[in-house]
Amino acid sequence: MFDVHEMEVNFGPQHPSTHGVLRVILKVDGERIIDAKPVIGYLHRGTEKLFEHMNYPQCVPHTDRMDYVAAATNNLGFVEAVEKLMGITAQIPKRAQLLRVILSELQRISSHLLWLATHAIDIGAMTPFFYTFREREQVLDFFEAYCGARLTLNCMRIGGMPEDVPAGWLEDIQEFIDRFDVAIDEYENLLTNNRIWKRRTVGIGVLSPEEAIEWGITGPPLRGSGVNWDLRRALPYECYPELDFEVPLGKNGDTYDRYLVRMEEMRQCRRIIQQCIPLIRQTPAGDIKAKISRVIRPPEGEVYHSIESPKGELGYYIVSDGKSQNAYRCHVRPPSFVNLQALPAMAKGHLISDLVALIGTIDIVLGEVDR
Amino acid sequence: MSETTPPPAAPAAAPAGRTASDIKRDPLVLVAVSRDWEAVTDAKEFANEITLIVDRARIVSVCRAFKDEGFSYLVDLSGVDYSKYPGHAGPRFGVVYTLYSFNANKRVRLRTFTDENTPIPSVTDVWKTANWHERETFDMLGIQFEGHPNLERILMWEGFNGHPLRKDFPIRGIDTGARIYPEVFPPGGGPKPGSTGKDAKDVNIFQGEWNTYGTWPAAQIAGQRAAAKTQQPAAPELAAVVAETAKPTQEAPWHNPDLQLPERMKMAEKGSLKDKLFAAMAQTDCTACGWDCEGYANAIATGETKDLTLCVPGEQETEDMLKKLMSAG
Repeated sequence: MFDVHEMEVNFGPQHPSTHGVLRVILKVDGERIIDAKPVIGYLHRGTEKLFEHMNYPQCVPHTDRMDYVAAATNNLGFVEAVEKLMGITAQIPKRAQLLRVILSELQRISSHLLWLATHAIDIGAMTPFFYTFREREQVLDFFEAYCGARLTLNCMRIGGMPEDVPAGWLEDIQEFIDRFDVAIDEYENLLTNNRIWKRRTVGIGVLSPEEAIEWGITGPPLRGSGVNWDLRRALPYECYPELDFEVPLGKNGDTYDRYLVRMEEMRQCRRIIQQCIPLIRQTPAGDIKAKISRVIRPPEGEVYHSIESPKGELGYYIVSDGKSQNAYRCHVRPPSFVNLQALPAMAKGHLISDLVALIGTIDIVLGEVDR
Repeated sequence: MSETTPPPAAPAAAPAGRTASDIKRDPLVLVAVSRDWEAVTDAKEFANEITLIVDRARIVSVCRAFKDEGFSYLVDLSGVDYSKYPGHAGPRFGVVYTLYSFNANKRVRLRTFTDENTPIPSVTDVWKTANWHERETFDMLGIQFEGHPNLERILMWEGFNGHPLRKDFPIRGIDTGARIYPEVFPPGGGPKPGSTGKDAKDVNIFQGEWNTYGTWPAAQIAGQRAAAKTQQPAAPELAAVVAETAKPTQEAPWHNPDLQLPERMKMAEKGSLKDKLFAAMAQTDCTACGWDCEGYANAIATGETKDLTLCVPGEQETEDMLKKLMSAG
């Protein structure tokens, strides 16, 4: 047999392309990865412990800090889980539902734009970063106009929304949406048929549909493997059943297909917002809150509720003892944590430089992995 | 403000009052449950979600039955510490498995109970994704999983002494023993013996000694002092620092922040008034008063200051002792 010179290499936690503080212990033979072991926990802040010690409304700002590039969807998952626990899901007014959908789709756009920028820069394409941040800045401005914050939004409340639509907000979004299609074309011009991009992504980190389900993978990585499963369609929440959109699917389950899926998802986000704007104009102004008790004390019981966050299935498992205003236990099922688990399986046999592409394609946010 | 708020409505739709046996006969779970009818000891329903309570020893075969019947996706696995749950009897921990079937498009929850010492059979052979979930549950709650290929901590660091999501773990955290200076605090980590987290000293927050960051902590200086006694210091700067900082410790055995006030007073009882005042200080040399501990004692003794309330880390007990000494002497 050949003489194999194995070596152990630390990748991160201070590596710029690990998107935060991910450490991967690599066992390599030359440049080729024999084994990879992710080491996480550097950003652990005990969010679940904190949830047990504050009442339900106080938890909402803490959800922002998990996936800090997609705060709106984090808020949405939590408030919906509590609403399900209280049995008031049906009482949420239409205007509030549409606002939630608009905010979470804008959030999906901004999250995907950040993913595209960093993914491309990791692989060596600097230019898309400047293009995507141009649009992401505008999306963040919409958040700022709605709730005053750009990243940690805290923009949803149990039973409704904190604010009505600001004046001129919908017109601005409409104008942005009209231009956004051209912007996506610009990104695709830079990458989709780019020979270097394709050589770095096609055939890298292939996941078969069965494998993806076995690893519990959700979101764009699952759909990139061709599994037609999107929580907005499968177990719909808010007013998604009334909205018309497609779930883009990949074929080969490689990094390139996952890229294509996310690009198409942005176009679908645009389409959803396009439909929401006329609908929200038809609803009465100011009707954004359900009439619920100010003190939130859900009955005894337990629920698991999940939504389709930009990264995948974001679930909240809440146990209420029926006596207090705090959750007895609140467990978060973060998509990044579960998706990251498949990294060793995807990385085996590839080069170290491909690992950078793989970390990018899973689209992890360490705040969510470690909570 | 004045609007009357209706009480939270009962969870929608669920046909209330189905018995455990009825829930087990629900078409969603019937086929899988009937493989081992006795293994499912109880069933509950809330907000249209079915929860089956499963016998601990048979959890793997039940999970495998569910997987064979289409529940190919393990959504989530987590644990709950029921020790403070009102009215809960039986083993302390619950482990919760959330399963999803793509064909039925529905979720089912399984739960099994265990205590601190009894391991639960691992389901990593059934679903690969259970690996990290079980590691997290072990890390956060200390639940053991039997047959797990690599059951080690995942979010907390190796050597952390405690399981944060247990209900008896204090929210403020515990002193883990992790420090900047291993010479002062020996390696190995873990909280101080007998630490409950209720005492401020047990908590890993500012304790005064952190003020030595940037200068040399007492024990390290003591070590250098011992070295300086036996041999000539190489660098003149080092000699100056050692000589200056070592001086009070040579003559003042009470100059040690780990000693309690009564002990320190006992050591200084034969000394001068200045020594007694010095022993009453917190001994951290924090300089919050404007001097180091010896300097402040000197300033009081010589009448340079009349303010006896300046020792911040010593708190009330130092202030009381200073007043007592000044009124006596």
